[in-house]
Amino acid sequence: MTILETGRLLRSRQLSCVELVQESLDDIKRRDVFRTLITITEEQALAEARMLDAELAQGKDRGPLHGIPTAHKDIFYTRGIRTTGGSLIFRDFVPQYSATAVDRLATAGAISVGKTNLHELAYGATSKNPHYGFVLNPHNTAQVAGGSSGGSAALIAANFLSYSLGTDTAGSIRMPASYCGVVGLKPTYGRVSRYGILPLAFSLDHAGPLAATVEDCALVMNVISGPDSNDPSCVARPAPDFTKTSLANLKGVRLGVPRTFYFHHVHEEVASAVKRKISEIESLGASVSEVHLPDMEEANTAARIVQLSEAASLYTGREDPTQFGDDVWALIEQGRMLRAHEYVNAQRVRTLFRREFDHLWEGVDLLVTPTTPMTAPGVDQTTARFGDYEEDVRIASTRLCRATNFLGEPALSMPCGKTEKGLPIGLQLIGAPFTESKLLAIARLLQN
Amino acid sequence: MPASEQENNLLIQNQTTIERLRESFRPLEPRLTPEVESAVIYRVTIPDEDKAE
Repeated sequence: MTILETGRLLRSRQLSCVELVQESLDDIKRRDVFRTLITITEEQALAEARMLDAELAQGKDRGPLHGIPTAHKDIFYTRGIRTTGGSLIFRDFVPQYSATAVDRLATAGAISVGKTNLHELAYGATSKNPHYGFVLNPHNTAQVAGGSSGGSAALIAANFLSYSLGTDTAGSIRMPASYCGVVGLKPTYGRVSRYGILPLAFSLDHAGPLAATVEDCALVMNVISGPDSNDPSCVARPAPDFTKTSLANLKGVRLGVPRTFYFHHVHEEVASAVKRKISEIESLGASVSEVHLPDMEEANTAARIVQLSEAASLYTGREDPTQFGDDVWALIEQGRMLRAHEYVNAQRVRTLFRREFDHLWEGVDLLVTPTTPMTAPGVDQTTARFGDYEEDVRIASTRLCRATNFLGEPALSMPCGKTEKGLPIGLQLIGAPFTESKLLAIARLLQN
Repeated sequence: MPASEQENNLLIQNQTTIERLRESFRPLEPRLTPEVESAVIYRVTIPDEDKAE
């Protein structure tokens, strides 16, 4: 059920917040073979639900999220509730304050029932967490949920909850959204506060929503976006109402379809589904043109240097590999091998790409691409094959997402059909900086 | 496999990964003329925030 549908039931007293939270928790306890949650906060959630029921009875309504349960990725600080980061090193960490996004959701009446499982330290693409269990894909438990926000995507796909907070440093909201068949939005860098979120790579990290529908994503964005004096990377001007823009058709929308990169080394079923969607967009009135992009492989290379360097800086002084999963430790070690001038030059490359994309946005309003070049890989799968080309699953999973973290552009992943085997395909909409309203409006039209 | 041998293998794997990354980055270096500064280091927000919407 969507946020708005559930809200109607609460306001008409057909359902109470307590009943809703209890039903969600019972459902999770009964069916969660996917390992979506690390921590369940039942007592606190029920206490909040009782309070929110009392408010509704008194006529106090906090808005669309009033009484709607959620769960935050376990790298969002939650005051008094442990925040593990999916790691051993933070297994007993209990923050003394909450992330701005968490606080804003609580003020809006959202009820957190727990903390979601993730790839260790948000540093990976599979959510095969060696400490808290592998997150499995609700569409097929032989496949991964993707990562790093795997628990968040899986609990929505399993119909446990309608929305969750995630983070995205190289695709960690969009890619699990694609693999699990849900909606995920990585907002523009600076749109959503990152205060109180365990960082991975300072200049690439973004926070955003995952949800069952585009409308629900917009509702969550309305709450979590906007200036935050605690986060210097957050922009100063207020965020718009992301639910306000509504489109009857796509006349006047200029869609760019990249000639290269985004459709290269992509599985046929995925490429076909996305191309069909592009035709649909055209039939809704959008003008479609092929666009030439700068070399996105180069952007990915520079982005990886930035990510490895910034993540290594966070774990300076950590010298015990047994405290980390093998894959995460290897990435930390690799980051330590990079040199200062290599990091600075990767950041200088970023300036070049920024200029090229500023030019690109003069001619088009959005790019439409696959989110991932394939559907969810198998739990034991380490490589992906695209014809003669073989690629590490982790690199393949992030390949079509990573560059937008480097640039900061908003990007949304939404379901785009399924393969013959029943696995979800993800469609990615990329827009110019601070055009989330437009992206969400277009996505809403496509979804409906 | 003895621990030190395993550690050596991991070290070689990590070095190989980083060398490949460096190789991929090399073609970009000629574009980094002296006037290309890193905007990100000075200002982490996107500079044209006022243009959108």
